[in-house]
Amino acid sequence: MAESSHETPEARLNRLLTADRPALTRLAASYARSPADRDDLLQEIAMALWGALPRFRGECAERTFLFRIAHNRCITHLAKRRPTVSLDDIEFEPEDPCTHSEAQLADEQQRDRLLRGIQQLPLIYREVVVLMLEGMDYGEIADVVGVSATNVGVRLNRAKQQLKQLLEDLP
Amino acid sequence: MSHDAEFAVWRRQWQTAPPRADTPAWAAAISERVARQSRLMRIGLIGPILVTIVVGGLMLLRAVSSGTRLDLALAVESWLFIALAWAGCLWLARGTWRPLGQTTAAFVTVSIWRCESDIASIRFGVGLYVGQLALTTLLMAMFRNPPLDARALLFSWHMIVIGWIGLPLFVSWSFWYVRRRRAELKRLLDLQRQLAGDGT
Repeated sequence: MAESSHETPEARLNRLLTADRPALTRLAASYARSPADRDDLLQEIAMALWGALPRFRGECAERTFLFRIAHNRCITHLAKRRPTVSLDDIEFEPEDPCTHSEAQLADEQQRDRLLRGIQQLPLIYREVVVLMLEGMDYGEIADVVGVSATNVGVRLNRAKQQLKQLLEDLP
Repeated sequence: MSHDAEFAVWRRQWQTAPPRADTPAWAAAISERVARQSRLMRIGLIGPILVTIVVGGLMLLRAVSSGTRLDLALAVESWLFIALAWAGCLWLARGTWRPLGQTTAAFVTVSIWRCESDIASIRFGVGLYVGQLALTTLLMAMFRNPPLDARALLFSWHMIVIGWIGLPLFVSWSFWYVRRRRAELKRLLDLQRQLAGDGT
């Protein structure tokens, strides 16, 4: 917090985006249907953060605030795009197999499966799972999503069952 | 929860690396887009004030310099509609400035209100446009010196620009915009249902 008190808004935005860029990219990917869609969403998140930062008074951790803004933007992004998404539409560019070892390829495939599984989760479960996978605890997730920590626990349990089932069914 | 083995495995897989297209182009584009968007937001705020001052001021200036009854009536009418437009917009936008809370539910709710407010504003705008066009035409018919017959009035430059060209364009754009916002509203309501749907 002390760090943020004397930095310019631009520097603050840059710091936040740089520090959590991989996490934000993953978060956006779980709500996007293609790399281009995800990149658009990332830009929307950056814009929303730019607009919201002046209102941040340190009521919660900066990371929680960042994820709250990002998460809200992801939700409204879903409302802005066309609703019909077939699974075939959810497509991220394939890696070039020549550049990877077998172990890396297997990791890549597992990650892709996990992403596809998460993308198919109902929204109320998807939001808590993604935040959980980013390392947030129940309290932080509750802060971002706006439900009680107990509710987060219940949702995560149900989400886990559904995600397991989805991952089993995915090719 | 960190003891949950399945989540731990998934978290490790999830965090191994970001999806591939984590491109530098995105980072480079952000600051440019932020600056552009900030400019647009400023213009968006200044725009209506500028229109009020320029249109209202010009009508007033014309009325004072010419002193004709028609220009006086048009100046009064312009300010009346400017006041109506501001009052209507502020009324319709009430409650939509910011979410009531910091939660996702509050955020979705305010997005729904904004959609509804936009749709109502467009309807209000079309009504205002048609009303002003009709009143302007009526004032011209009543106060213009020398008077114009109905045919000349219908094909006067003001009627051609604002009526024959402007009205169909504005109404078509309104239909398109309202349709788009309605679709978004439908999806937002659906999201709201999904977010509230676990019963816990």
